Amino acid sequence: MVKQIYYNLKLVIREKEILFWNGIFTILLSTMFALAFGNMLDYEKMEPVSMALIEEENQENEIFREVINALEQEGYIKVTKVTEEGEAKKLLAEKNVAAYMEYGEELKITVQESGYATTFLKSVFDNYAQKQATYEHMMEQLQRPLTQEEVVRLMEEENYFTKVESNHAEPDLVLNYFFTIIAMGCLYSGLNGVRLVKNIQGNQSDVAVRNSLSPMPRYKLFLSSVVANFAVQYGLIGILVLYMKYMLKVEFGTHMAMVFLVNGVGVFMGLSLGVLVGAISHSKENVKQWIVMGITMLGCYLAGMMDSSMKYKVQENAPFLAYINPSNLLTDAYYSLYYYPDMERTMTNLAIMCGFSLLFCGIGIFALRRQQYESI
Amino acid sequence: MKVFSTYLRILNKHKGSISLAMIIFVAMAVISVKSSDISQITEFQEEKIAVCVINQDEDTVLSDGLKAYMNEHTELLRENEVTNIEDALFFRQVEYVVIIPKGFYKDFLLGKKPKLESYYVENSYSAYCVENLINNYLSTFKNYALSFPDAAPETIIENTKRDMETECNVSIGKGNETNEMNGWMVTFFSCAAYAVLGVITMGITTVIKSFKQIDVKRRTLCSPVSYMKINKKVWMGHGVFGLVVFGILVLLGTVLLGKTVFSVKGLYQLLNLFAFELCAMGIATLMSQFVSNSSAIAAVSNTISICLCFLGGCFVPLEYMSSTAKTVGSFTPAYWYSKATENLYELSEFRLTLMGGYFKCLAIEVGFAIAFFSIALLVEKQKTMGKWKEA
Amino acid sequence: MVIKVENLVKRYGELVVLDHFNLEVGEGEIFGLLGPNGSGKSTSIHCMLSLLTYDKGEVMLFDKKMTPKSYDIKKDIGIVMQNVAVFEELTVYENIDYFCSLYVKDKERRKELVESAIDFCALNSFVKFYPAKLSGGLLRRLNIACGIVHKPKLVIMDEPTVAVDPQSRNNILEGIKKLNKEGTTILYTSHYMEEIEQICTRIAIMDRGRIIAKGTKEELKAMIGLGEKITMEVYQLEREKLEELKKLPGVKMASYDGNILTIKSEKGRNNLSPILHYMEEGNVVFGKVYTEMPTLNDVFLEMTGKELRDNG
Repeated sequence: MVKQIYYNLKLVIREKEILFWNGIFTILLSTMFALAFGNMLDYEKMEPVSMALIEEENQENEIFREVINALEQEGYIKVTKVTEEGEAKKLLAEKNVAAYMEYGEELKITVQESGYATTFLKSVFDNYAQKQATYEHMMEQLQRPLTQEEVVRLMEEENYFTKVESNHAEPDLVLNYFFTIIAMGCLYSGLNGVRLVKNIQGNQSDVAVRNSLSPMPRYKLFLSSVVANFAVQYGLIGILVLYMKYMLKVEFGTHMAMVFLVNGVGVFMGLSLGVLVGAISHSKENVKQWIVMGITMLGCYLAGMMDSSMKYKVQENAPFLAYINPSNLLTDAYYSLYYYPDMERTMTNLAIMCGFSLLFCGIGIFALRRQQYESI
Repeated sequence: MKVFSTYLRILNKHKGSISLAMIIFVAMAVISVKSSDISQITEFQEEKIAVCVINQDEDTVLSDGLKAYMNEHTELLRENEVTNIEDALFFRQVEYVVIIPKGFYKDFLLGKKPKLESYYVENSYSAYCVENLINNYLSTFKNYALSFPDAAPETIIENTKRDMETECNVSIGKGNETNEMNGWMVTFFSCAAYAVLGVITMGITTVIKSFKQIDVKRRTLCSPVSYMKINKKVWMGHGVFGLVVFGILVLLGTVLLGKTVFSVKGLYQLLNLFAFELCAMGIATLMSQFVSNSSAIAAVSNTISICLCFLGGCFVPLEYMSSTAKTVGSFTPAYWYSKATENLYELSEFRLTLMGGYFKCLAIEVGFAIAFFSIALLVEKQKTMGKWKEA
Repeated sequence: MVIKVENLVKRYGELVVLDHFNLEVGEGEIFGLLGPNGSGKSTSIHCMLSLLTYDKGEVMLFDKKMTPKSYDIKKDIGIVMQNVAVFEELTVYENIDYFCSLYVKDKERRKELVESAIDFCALNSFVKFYPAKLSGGLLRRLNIACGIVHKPKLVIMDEPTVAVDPQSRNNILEGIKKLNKEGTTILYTSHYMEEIEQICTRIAIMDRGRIIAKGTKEELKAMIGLGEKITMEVYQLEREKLEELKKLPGVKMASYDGNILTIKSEKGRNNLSPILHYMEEGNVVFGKVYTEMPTLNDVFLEMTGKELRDNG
C-alpha cells in the first residue's frame, strides 16, 4: 500500500488544475482581501475630526472658546481658524476639513457628508448646546441665577459607564473574510475526492477498471488515495494559514495547534464531500466538480464571504442552516478559536464536522462498495 | 460569414461557463440594490448607531425615558434581538450594549454614582457617541433631580427630554448632496466591472482557443482564404460579442435602476463602462496568446477578474483601501474605472471644466486597451512567424 | 480449463446482449474471439471478469468461480483494454510500476518485472515520457505493458490494436506470440480477421451475443462450402460468356465488374484449370490471375449473410 500512496501523492501533486484552485487561488484571494479590506474598519476608529472655525473679530464667547480648546486638547477635534465663510467653504470642498463651524446666535455646522465622524462631531457639540439649554431652563424655573455649586455640577462631565472586562479578543470583523477563504480551501478538497472516486469506481474510467481488476482490495486502493490526497491538501491549507498569519498578519488567536486540527478536520470533511458526490452522482467529472464548488461557494456566501453580516444573520434567524453548512462550521471554528477564550464552541463545531465527515464518507464508501455494474 | 457564424456557435456551446460571471454579478447586483424608498438626501443624517439596552433593574421612569430617547437617536435593538453580545459586537450587528444593573435607579437617586455596564468596540466613534448621549441624559436628569428635589420623576423626565432635544444645526455643504439612487448606481456599475471582465475574458479566450487549435490553424492556413481575412471576421465577432454583453448590462441596469441609467450621470457611467469593456477585450486577446487549455482559461479568467476588481476598488470602495493597495491598483485599468465612477458620483453639475478628472480616467482606460491590443497583436505576429512556441 | 463460461445471458431491458454465450479456453492457447462491432465481445469479457452483472450463467477461471472479490484469481489475470487505461499524470515508467505494485509487493521483483515489460514492449526510449506525448502505437504498447507487467497466467486483450499503424500492429502481434511462448494463455478479441488468423490457435466467431462457430481456422473454413476465390483481369467479356462461365462445374459464383472477373469456386481441387481452359477456348483475353483461399470473413458471411467489418 505504501507504493500506492507514493504514486497517489505524485498524481495529486501533478494535477495542476486542482492544485491551482486549492493552493494558488486561495493565496491570491486572501492577498486581494488583505489589500482591499486593509482599512475597512478605519471609518469607526476615533481620530480627531478636522474642522474649520469661522471666528469673526467682534465675536465674544469665552465659554465657547474654552470648550473648543478643551475638546482640542482631549483630541476630539483639530481646528483650523478662518475669518470668513468663503475660506471655510473652500477648505470643505477640497476635503481639507470634514466640517466648518460658525458661532452666532446658534451653533451652525456644515459638513462634507453624513458619516460616523460627522455624527461624532455633532454629538460633541450637541452636548454643549444641551448644557446651555439646561442652564437657561433651570434659571427660568428657579427664577434666579444658578449657584456656583449648581454651575459646577452642570458643567461636570460624569461618566456612568464601566466597561465589562472580557477576555475575548478584539472584534475584528475583517478576519471573518479570511476564515471563509480557509473554509473554501478546505472544502475544495472535494475536487480531489471526485477525482479519487473516478480512479476507483469501475464505471467511471478505464483506469478504474484496471484498478478494480487487480488483486488489491478496494479498501486499500481507496485508503491509499485518501491518505495521499489528504496529505497534500492538508499541506496546502497549512501553507495558506501560515501565509495569512505571517505575511498578511491575520490573527488566529493563541491556539495555533487547534487551528491546525481544524484544518485537518476541514480537509477531511471536504474530501469526504467529494467522495460522496463522486460516488452517488452519475454525471461527468466536471459536472461533479461544479457541484462541489457550488456547494462550497454557496456555503461560503452564507458564512459571510461576500457580506460578513450574513454569517450573523443566518446564525440568528436560521440557526439550523448554520449548523448544516460545512463552510460555516469551519468559519465558525476559526472564529471561535480566535475570539473566545474557551474551547466549547470550537469543540461543538469540530464534533459536527466529524459527524458530517463520517456521514459523507460512510455513504460514499457504501456506494463505492459495489464492484459489479449494470453497464460500464 | 461562415467564420462569424462559427464564432457564435462556439460561444453558444460554452454559454454555461461564459455566463457564470454574469450570473454571479446579477445575484450580487440584485442583493445590493435595496428596495427602500429612493429619496433625495440633501440634509445631514446622523448615523444611527446600533445599540441594545438590557434592563436588569425594574422598569422605572428613568429607564423608560432613557430608552425612548435612545430610540429616537440610535437604532435601538430589543433585548431579544441580541442573543449573543460577543457575536453581535464582532459582526457589528450591535455597536454598543448597555446593561442597567439591578438597583441602579435607587442608587442613582441616592447619589451613590452607580455604573452602567457596557460592551463596545474600543476606541470607536460609536462608543463615544453612545456614552456621550447617555452620560448627558443621566447628568441632566440628575441636575434637575437635585435642583428640584420635590419635583415628580415624570416632571424631571419631561425637563430632561426637552433639554436633550436641543441640537446644533448641521447641514451638508451645497453641491455635496447625495442621492441614494446615486449610491445604488455606483454599486451597480462597480459590480458590473466584474461581470465585464469575467464574461469577456472567458468568452473571447474560449473562442480564440478553438480557432487556434494547431490542426485547425494549419488547415486554415492551407485554405485559399487568407488568414488576415479570417482574423478580421474573428475580430468582428469580438465586437458583436462585446456589444451584446454591454447591451445585457444596460438592460439589467434599466431593470434595477430605472430611467436613471439614461440620465446624464447614467450615460457618462455607461461610457465609462464601455471604455472598461475595451480594456477587458484587450486583456482577453492578450490572455488568449498564452492560455489555450480550457481549465486553465477558467482559472486564469476567474483570477484576473477577481484580482483586478479587488485591486481596482470595484468590490470595496477605494477609500477603504490602504495606500499600498491603491498604488498597486493604479497600474490596473479597474482602478481608473472605479476612480471615474467615484468622480461622477461626486458631481452634481456636468460642465466640462468640472469633469477633467473623469475624462483623464477615461483616457487612461482607453490607453490600457490600446496597449493590451498592441501587445497581443505583436505576440500573435511573432508566433505566426515561428519565433514563439505555440501555446 | 483456464476459462469456462456456460450459458451466459445478459440483457439490457429487452435487448439481449449475451445470448447463452459459451466459451472454453485451455491452458497455453491463444484463443481468438472474432465478431463485428456490437456482437458482445467486450460485454462477454467484462462479465467474465465480474465487472458487469449478468442474468444467467456461470463463469469459471482457473476452475474457480469468478466473483468481484476473487483476489486469488485476479492476481493471475492481466487485462489490456480497448481504451488506453493509464494515468495522464504519470510517466511511462511510473504507470507500469504503479500497476505492477497492485500485484507484486516485493520491490526488487517488481523492478525486474517493470524493466522486463518495458523491454518486451520496446518502450526503453520513452520511459520518462508522459502519455500525452506518445503516439497512438506507443500508447497501445504502454497499455499492453501495464496489463502484462506482472507476468499473469491469463491475459485478456480486448481489441488492443485499434487505430494502430500496421508496423506497430505487427510488433504487437509478434509480442503476443512471444508472450504465449512463455506460457501465457491469451484470450484475444478483435474484428480484424487478419490478426486473428495470424496469431490464434483456436477461434470462435461471435454474432449477436452468441458463438456461431468455433475451431481452428482450417476447421472453420472447412465448415463452409467455399473453395478458392479466383480473380482475373479480363478486358472484354460478353454477358453470354459470363453466363456460361457460371455453369461450369465447380463454379459457385461469378461476377464481372470494371475489367475484373471474380469467381468463387466450390470446395475441392483443380478449380482453376477448367476456367482457364474455357477462357482460352472462348478466345477471351485475360491478364493477371490471382487465387486465394477462403478467409474468416467468408466464413462469417456464409454463416450470417453479412461482412465482419460492415456492421456497427
